[in-house]
Amino acid sequence: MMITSISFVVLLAGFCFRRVLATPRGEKHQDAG
Amino acid sequence: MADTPTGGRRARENWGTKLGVILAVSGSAVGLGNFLRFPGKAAANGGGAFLIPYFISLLILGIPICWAEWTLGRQGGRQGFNSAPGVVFSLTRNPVLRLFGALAILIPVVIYMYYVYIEAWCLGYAWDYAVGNLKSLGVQVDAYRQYFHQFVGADQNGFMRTVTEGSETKVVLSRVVYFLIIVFLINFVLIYRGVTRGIETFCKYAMPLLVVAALVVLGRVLTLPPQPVPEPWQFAMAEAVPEQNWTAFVDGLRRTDDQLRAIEDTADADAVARGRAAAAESFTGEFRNTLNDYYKGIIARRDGYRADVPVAGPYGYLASVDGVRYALRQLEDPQDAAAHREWVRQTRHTLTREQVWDLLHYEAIEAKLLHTLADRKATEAQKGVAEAELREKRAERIALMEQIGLSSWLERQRHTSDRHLRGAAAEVAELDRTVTNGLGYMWNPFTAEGGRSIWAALSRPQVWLEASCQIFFSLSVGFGIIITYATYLRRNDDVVLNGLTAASTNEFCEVCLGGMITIPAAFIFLGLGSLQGAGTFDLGFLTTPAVFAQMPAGRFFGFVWFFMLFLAAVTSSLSMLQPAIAFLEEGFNLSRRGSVALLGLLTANGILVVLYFSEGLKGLDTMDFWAGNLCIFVMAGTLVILFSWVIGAERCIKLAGQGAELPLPRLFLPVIKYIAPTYLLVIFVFWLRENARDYVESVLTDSTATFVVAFVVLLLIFFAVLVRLANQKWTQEGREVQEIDP
Repeated sequence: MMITSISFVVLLAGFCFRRVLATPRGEKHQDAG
Repeated sequence: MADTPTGGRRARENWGTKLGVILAVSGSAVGLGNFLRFPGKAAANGGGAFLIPYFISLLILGIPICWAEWTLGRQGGRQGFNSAPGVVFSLTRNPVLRLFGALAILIPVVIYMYYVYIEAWCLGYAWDYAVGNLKSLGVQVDAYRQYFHQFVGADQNGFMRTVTEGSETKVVLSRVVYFLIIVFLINFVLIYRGVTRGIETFCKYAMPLLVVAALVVLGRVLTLPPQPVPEPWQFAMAEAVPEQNWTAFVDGLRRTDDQLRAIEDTADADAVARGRAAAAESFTGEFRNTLNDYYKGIIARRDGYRADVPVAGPYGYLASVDGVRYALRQLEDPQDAAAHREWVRQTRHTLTREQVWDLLHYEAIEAKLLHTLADRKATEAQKGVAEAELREKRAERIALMEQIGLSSWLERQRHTSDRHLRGAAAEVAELDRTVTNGLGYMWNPFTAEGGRSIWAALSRPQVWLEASCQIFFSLSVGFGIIITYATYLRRNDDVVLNGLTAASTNEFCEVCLGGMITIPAAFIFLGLGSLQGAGTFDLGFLTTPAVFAQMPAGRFFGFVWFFMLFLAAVTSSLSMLQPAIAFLEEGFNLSRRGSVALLGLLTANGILVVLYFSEGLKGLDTMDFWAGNLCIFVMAGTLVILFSWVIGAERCIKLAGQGAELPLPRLFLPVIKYIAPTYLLVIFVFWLRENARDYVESVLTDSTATFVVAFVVLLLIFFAVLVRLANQKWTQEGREVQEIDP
């Protein structure tokens, strides 16, 4: 159970961070005011 | 936030980097709950089986509500709002729903009032480790309990404490106040610097540092050598007897044992009976007093624990002189000790739970001893004596238990929860104290019967409730924080990936770090008994210091641990201030300095309330229940309804998809529209059923609780009035949004 849980969390976090660091930032926000 | 007015409104501030916002949001979510609440709850609720409802709740409750909050927040930010009341204003024209924005201010502000107090404990303990103040406390958990109670002021209300220095008694300001002032200032200095320069910059350094610090402690725990398992009788006595009296106590036991043995060698049954009675009497006074203290300690601790949390009992057979004698034999005869352990393991699996409890703790050893005695003598007369003695001892034991109130307490506990029995059985069948067994205790699925069936554990509703609540509170959904932070996103920043990344960072800290440190470490050094019934604060401030006291280089690791907890707490408390700051700025055009000053004044008053009503941590506990739990359920429900039913889930999903690197799963629609609200409602009802009665009674009967709740209600009214005024102002400024068009 420990190995399954930790693997799941590490893979999820690893996948997310990989995508975050690999993609560029969105366009500059325009102030509605 | 930049103080450069542009046409009556300040220039908007955005997060500097994508990583920055993720670390800020996950920093807000990662707190003491990850490192202390999670392991305690998991270990007490099915071990590894707990993780199944936990991850199911993450997928159908935690992450969907996170995504909803991120989407709503970014949408409000697009309309130029940076506070939850502003976001709600921009998303609905319903005046009642708009007032719910006040909850999103109230919740973080009230939580801040007591959270900063806990933060001060962490800093105080880190300081104490750094300068070596805790060194003299030794290895007894009770010593740390006393120290903790004194430090946080849990023994009496008020700001002042009485201290004795030599023969002089002085009344001084409580030491925790100094640390409280420091953490209060740290928070407000950082928040004054703004979202980017304050929160984001701090989290960018603090979060990695926190993870590194946790990894350092984790590395130490995972490489700990096995510790010797104390003989069974030492568990209870080592806790019960002050260290300085230990040797004398053991000598006393040995002398008594010798006397008893000498008498037993005679064949005269009457002489045996008389001799035993005399020897027992000579020792019973001291022995009973010691055990009384021990039992009373357990009973006294009862009020500090929730009814559903187990408390480990000591070895029941030590309540009789014969039991102690038997224990002493074990110490001298390793083979006998090994046989005893094996017998305990066997009985644990073959008897009913009630039988295990009774036999292991009170009946079996006496019966076994007397049977052996009678068997050796092999005469009917002596068997009769043995039986009579057994009856007498039972009566004696029951009288003793009645005298100290233990009997009725045990009876109640027996029917309260299976977990007590697990604790009792596990304590007796003590495992070797290795890292793998420690991890096994935390992670292996268990049932109360000592079996290892996941399904049996999952059949208990309590496991599901605790797992869902853990996810709910851990991810900081419904606090009004994520929605505020999300307003600082840029127009097309990815809410899906950012939300998922922040949630997974929180999960990493909780499962991979929190789940691996405290429980195994406490298991190795203190055994299972120390973990039974340990609440969040017990685990953090009583158990772990006793663990560090026995660990090589414990002072260093103790400092790293409490400093790490302090960092985790600061990243969370910072996020609690931002919603109110943003609201005061945009609702009333206050400058940052003005809004910080106003909020500082307000929160300082709340902190004084928590600090003053410190007896039994009543002020903290009451605020936590009403604002930190109840209001969060209401707020999370409001957000889900707003997302799914007021604006419309289909429309919101289109909004969420804008700028999204990952498409939202198709299942998200039915989950956020039907499953998450229903699940939330079910948990809320069960949670209320479990907890509400005590707290409502407390408000009606306890003046402290009444005062604290009145304070929270007044604050709610105050914020509701402010939100109403801000709504009027925004309407006059023509900031109402006609149509939310994805």
